[in-house]
Amino acid sequence: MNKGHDQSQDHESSNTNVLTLDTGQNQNIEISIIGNPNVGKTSLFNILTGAKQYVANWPGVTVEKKVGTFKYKDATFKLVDLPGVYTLSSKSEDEKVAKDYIINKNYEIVILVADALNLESSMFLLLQLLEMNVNIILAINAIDEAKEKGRIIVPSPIIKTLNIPVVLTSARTGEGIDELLEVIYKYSLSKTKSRVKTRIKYPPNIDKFIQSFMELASNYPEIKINYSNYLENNWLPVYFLEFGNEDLNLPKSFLKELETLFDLDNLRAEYTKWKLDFISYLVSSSIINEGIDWSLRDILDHVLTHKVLGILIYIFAMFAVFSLTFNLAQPLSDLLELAFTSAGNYLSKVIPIPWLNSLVVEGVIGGVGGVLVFIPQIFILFFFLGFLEESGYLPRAAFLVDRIARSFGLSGRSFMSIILGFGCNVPAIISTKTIANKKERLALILSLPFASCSAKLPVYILLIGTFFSSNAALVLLLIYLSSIVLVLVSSKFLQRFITQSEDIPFIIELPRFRMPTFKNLAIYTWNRGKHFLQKAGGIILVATIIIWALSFFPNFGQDINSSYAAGIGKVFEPLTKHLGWDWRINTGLVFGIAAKEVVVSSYSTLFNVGEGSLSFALQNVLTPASALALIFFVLAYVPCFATLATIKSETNSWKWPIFTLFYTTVIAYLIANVVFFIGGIFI
Amino acid sequence: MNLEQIKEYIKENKELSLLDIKEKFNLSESEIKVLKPFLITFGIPLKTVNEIHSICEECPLNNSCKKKSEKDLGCCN
Amino acid sequence: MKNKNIILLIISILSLIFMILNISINFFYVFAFLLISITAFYGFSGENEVWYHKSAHIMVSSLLGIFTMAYELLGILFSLISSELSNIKPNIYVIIFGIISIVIFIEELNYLKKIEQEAKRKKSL
Ligand SMILES: Nc1nc2c(ncn2[C@@H]2O[C@H](COP(=O)(O)OP(=O)(O)O)[C@@H](O)[C@H]2O)c(=O)[nH]1
Ligand SMILES: [Mg+2]
Repeated sequence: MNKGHDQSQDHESSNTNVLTLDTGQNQNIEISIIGNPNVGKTSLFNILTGAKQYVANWPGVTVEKKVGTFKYKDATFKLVDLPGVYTLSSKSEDEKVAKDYIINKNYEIVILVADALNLESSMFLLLQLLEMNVNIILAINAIDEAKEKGRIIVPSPIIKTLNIPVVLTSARTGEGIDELLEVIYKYSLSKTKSRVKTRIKYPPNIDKFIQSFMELASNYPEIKINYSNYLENNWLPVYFLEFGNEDLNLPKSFLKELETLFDLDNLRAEYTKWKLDFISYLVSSSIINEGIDWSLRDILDHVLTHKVLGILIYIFAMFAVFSLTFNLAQPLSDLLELAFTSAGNYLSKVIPIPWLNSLVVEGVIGGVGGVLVFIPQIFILFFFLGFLEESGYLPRAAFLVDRIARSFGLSGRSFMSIILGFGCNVPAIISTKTIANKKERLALILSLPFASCSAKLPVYILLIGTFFSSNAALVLLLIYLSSIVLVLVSSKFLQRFITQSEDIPFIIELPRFRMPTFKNLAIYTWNRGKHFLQKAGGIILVATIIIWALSFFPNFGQDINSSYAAGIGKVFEPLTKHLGWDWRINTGLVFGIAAKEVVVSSYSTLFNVGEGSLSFALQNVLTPASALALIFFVLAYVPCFATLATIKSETNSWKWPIFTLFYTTVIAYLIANVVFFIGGIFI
Repeated sequence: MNLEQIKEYIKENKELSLLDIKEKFNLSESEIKVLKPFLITFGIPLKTVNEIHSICEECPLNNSCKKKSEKDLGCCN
Repeated sequence: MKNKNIILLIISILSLIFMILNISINFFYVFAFLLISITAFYGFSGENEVWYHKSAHIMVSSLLGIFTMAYELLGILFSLISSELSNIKPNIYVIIFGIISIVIFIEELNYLKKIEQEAKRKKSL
């Protein structure tokens, strides 16, 4: 877009540059890519650099730094991919990295990548870069998608008003990439002096402020030293006006003097208004939208994020998913059970050594097989949960739940953590990192084990299928909702002892809806289900063998009631007798600490069902009320080892995992008693 | 578009979606997009649900969880 | 569709009737129809809200009807696979309501598209 009549001049200057390039070996011209998140920065980066790239970290932070090189004509470029940001300030790690990079000016050119569909959001950053006097090329990307959606981008007003080169690109179709390369090449070779700089015309009041600010600052040598980067091109006063003194920390006396001269609040408002007007002008002159302003997404969200209806629809969605899980999976599950039973029968006839026979048939096939029969339920559940997640529905539900969470004193991203917790508590606990308030975060970490993770599913399915098969989905729904309530109430309760948190307001941007493809859903389901299978071959197998050994010795399977396993369970019998749980139930719970699925596999072994069904054996031992109490106990009690280890690493102390151990068990025991009592009345 | 009013409204309500603001102040899609960076300068962070991606990097179950390699899918369990 | 109040009324009354008919059959469908009815009823409120308020409630309640039918069809499909042919008793109410929902959803979508085109025409004039 920078095609002017000075093309021949550029060419001459490029020749002289080539010479200097050749003598100064490896003299790469450093350029960088900046832009809002998700505009195609990395896609363009990959197209430009191809395989010649490496990944590192920015110093001091965990933000990823991608660097690559590419050659165009006779020049070699070093390209840096900056993190996605909306503004250059210090509000987040990403922004700080980007700001520090830009302000240090160790580069020639910055390519600002904007998304043609969201060009409006990039304008702020564009102005900020111009205010910092950076050499910018504006690449308006995803132009293919814009054309598809009837959005026309007219770059000439931007080119004329701001005096910068603009290229329309598409990382998908490759459109405009050649032009971008050419513009980069020409722009980098026309040395700084020949580039026409844009002077931004501020309103007179702002100009006056900038001038006075700079004059005043020249009296402060410490400002000159500490803020030399900001002082160039008068960016310090502008930055101060926009973002205040929070991350600048200018000297107090300086601020005082400034405040006597200006009404800073008014000035700030005026500056913001000027910027908004300027951006609005640019937007209205360079974007032509065909069609009016409605989208199906807004229309659906109008109801789906409604305070009351939204929650009801979420409950409906979960109810549907659970019903489908039970209804569709049952026949398949029965088939699997048949297969395991006949395998067990066959092997019990073939293996002559008694202890090996018992190990294989009762331990491995009975135990691990007892868990594996739930493969259909687990995969079908993941499949439909995947549908909710992939379609973009789940974030909406999470947003609603979070609003409720707010009335429980939780703020910030608690909702996403809880939703993650339904999959696995480990990433859920890690995700609390985004919560700034330390105490609030701790309360949530300690409460997240109450989020019913998918490892508990086999236990629920076994017990619900055995005792509540006519209302299976409803009972599972009840468990899930109780689980959410439990996390919320628990963190509210814990915060009481920790102190109140301040509420930082924030805005949620909900993702687009999309129709999940069957392939994506299959991948999603497999990835989650695979984890279950791996556990079955690993920790569940090991735990099952240990349980078998404990139940087989010391009297070689003659009397299980005096085995080591019975000894463990009997320790707790005084506490659980009134709930109707005997030592076998207790032993299973103890080993469930290793992994929740082990509860099921150990019941298979301990009830020594062999040919008969575990359901039948359980029905002989438990009443529906004690089964329901058991379900709720499993929901709440001790998290698995992985979760405890994560709590330790996230809180940096053994105190909290140990606390969790006792806390969850006590709460679980209390809930089990309450449920048993209430259940005794109703069922 | 009155920035001060919008700012006040958000601070009162703490947690809103972009749609809430759009409907309350009768803004067009284009205006909402312009507004986004301004909100950030007001100290009102914009949270996108895509942020969960970053969690994968630190998850100890990372090895057994291949979700992060499928870029278009969500995150780990 | 022009007369949104009538559509909302049809949806809410019809779903209420079907809910009652399902009470002795299937609790899930009772919940589903109740939810659809409530969603449609909410559409009457809030005259001063955004212009698509009524459309939104029509669209979502019919979408819920469609999903409920999809649920029923999935169940039928699976019992076909597990060859329990004798056990297949399609819930006729759900299917009737689902088909009505599809018609309403498509009609409403076309109506919104028509508005869009009219606005475009006005703009270009
Ligand atoms: N249609 C279209 N999609 C694109 C284009 N460039 C990037 N994308 C998609 O936009 C998404 C975000 O791209 P990415 O490069 O990761 O963005 P970044 O966050 O700015 O680095 C990806 O799903 C890309 O496939 C483009 O030119 N056209
Ligand atoms: Mg990127």
